[in-house]
Amino acid sequence: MKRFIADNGSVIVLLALCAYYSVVTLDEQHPNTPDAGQEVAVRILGEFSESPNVIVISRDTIQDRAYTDSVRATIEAGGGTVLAVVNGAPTDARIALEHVGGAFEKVDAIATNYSASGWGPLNPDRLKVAAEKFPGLVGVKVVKPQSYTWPSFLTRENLVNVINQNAVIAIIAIGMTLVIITAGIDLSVGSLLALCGVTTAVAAQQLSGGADAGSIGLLGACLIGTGVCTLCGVFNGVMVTWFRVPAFVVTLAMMMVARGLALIVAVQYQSALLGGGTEGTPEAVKIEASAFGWLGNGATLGIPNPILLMLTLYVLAHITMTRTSIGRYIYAVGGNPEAARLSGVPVFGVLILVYAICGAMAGLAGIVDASRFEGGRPNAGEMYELQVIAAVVVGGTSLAGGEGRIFGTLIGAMIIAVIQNGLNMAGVASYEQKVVFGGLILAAVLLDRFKRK
Amino acid sequence: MVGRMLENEFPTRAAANVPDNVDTEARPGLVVSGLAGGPKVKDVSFNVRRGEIVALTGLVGAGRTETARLIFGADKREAGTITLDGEELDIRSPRDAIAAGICLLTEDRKSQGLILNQNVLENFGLPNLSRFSVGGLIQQKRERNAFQGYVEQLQIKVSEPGQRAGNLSGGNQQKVVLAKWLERDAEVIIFDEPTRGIDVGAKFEIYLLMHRLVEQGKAILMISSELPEVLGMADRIVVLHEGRVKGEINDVKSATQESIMSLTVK
Repeated sequence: MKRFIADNGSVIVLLALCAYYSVVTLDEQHPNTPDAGQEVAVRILGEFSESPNVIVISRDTIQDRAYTDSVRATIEAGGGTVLAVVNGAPTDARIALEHVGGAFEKVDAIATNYSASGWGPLNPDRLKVAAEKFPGLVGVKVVKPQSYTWPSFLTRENLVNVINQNAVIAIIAIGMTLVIITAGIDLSVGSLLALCGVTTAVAAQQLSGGADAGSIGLLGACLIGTGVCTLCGVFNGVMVTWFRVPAFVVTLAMMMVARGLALIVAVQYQSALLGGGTEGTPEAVKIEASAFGWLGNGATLGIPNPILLMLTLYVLAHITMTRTSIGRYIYAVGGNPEAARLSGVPVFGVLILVYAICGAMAGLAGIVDASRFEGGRPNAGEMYELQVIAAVVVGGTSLAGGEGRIFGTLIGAMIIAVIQNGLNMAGVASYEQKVVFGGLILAAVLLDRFKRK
Repeated sequence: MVGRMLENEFPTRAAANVPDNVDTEARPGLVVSGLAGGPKVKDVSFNVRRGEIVALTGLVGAGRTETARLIFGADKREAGTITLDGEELDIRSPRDAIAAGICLLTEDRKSQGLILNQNVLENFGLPNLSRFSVGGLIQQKRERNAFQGYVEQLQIKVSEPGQRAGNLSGGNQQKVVLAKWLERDAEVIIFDEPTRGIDVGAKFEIYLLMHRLVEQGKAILMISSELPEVLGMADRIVVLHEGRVKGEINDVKSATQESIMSLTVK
């Protein structure tokens, strides 16, 4: 039992956090999905059996539109008439109501959702007043989806969002886990992410054909960006091994160099475009090819692509670390480099490989980031290295090297994500969140110490 | 002593050193000549034939361990050649030496022989992973079965293959190191102080194992500061002094601790 808790401590913490936030965020839920729209439409059709006249009102967001589309389709399929669909502001709703109320004999129902049902023109008293002028509105009924009590935290939307927002951190954390298992550290990942984004963006614009770039051209641009980061990782590794520079120092230097390069490339590129001097602002290098957003903003089978990429990489990394020679070598180098060398492990090669993988993972994360924002942002990923290290440490990897599990890191990244999400929901300001996270990292390291004793 | 008389401290072996199935003409074993490297090893030449245990001895600081490390590629070799069965080896790292069929049981098990925070199975598998892998994936069952064989053969006392190497006794740690090198099936095995810090029972088992290895035609180089061990186990004795070979004793039977001592000091 004690051992079970020690081995699965982070999972237990994660589940406890989820349970805690589920209780705390227990709240009235107001669904706004196409399914809810269908439910509302069916209810209206049932209540007004003879082809009801309906007006549909909601805000103008992607979700609200999906909701109103669903209402309209279901009403029309059921033999009802949709007199008007409003996606906009309260004023639009008032104008539409007045128009419909004046033009048609009888409006049976207003189908709306929770957010729009609070608008002034939909207030029952105001509707009565309006009905005096516009006879069609007499006896009109406002219908919205049924609400229910459920934790806001535990909705599919929120959970997917939490994971999606942290996929970039979790991807970099794979590389960082390997580095920390070898008793090293890599501070350059945040800057490499930005460098990759900017490099990929410039390559996509200049080499792959800009707005007309095809998927192969974009893939090539991504390979260039990731390749640059991998080479930076190789450089880190060579410095750590052949030149015996402490990893902390090498990667600190790389952190500054890569950030500087990302900014230089972005500024130079902008000024070249504008035809001016070398002065420019470090704005994102826009990627015009629309297909590029697929990775960061698209979804496959209902799951956002960054999450799928993250999970794929975690499975691959897990297999590598547990079932291949390379994985065993990495643990061995971290556990005792001299004993590993005397057992025939190519220690330098393993270390260089590990830093290269870390650079490549930062690069991949950079592509996800660039895809999400449809451009390479030279200021992206600032302070990410600390969040990533925190995820790895919270996930149970020892900074002393030799120990750590890939899926532990995923759990660690999720713990941090969940805490962040919960604090946001509870309305805790970001400054106070920093204090919480500082304490969390300290607690994780202390826990590791006690476990060893 | 512990239930065993002093004269029985070392197992006896059939007089014929070289087994019939090894052609020592064609396969003369390990030949080291003019070896130099680092401040401790200046000029070391000797050979170890197949089926033979050669003891490398001398005072502390004579360069015994350093010589072994040079042969194994653990330190940089500045001069000299190493040949195995007549073929010159280009050893630049322990990895090269292991690939060529040489392995080294280090003097310091805890810091060089084992990774203490890993389990015994992982320690055992480390130099042997290519043997257990199919298509790049380690077949854990195969690895486990191979290790289980050595647990029985060497009577290693481990509760489970997942036990941490750091939690074993000295003798069992040495047996895990032995198992990992036996699985390599190396031709030349260098034992650096193989019985230091090990109880008498385990010592005897390790001596027996060394005999079994030479009977299979392996070449063993043993480094030891224990003169009784040197006299009891070796077929020949090479004495080092300040990084050079001071003398060689071929007739071990008539050698005494005093005759070795007289060679080790100037």
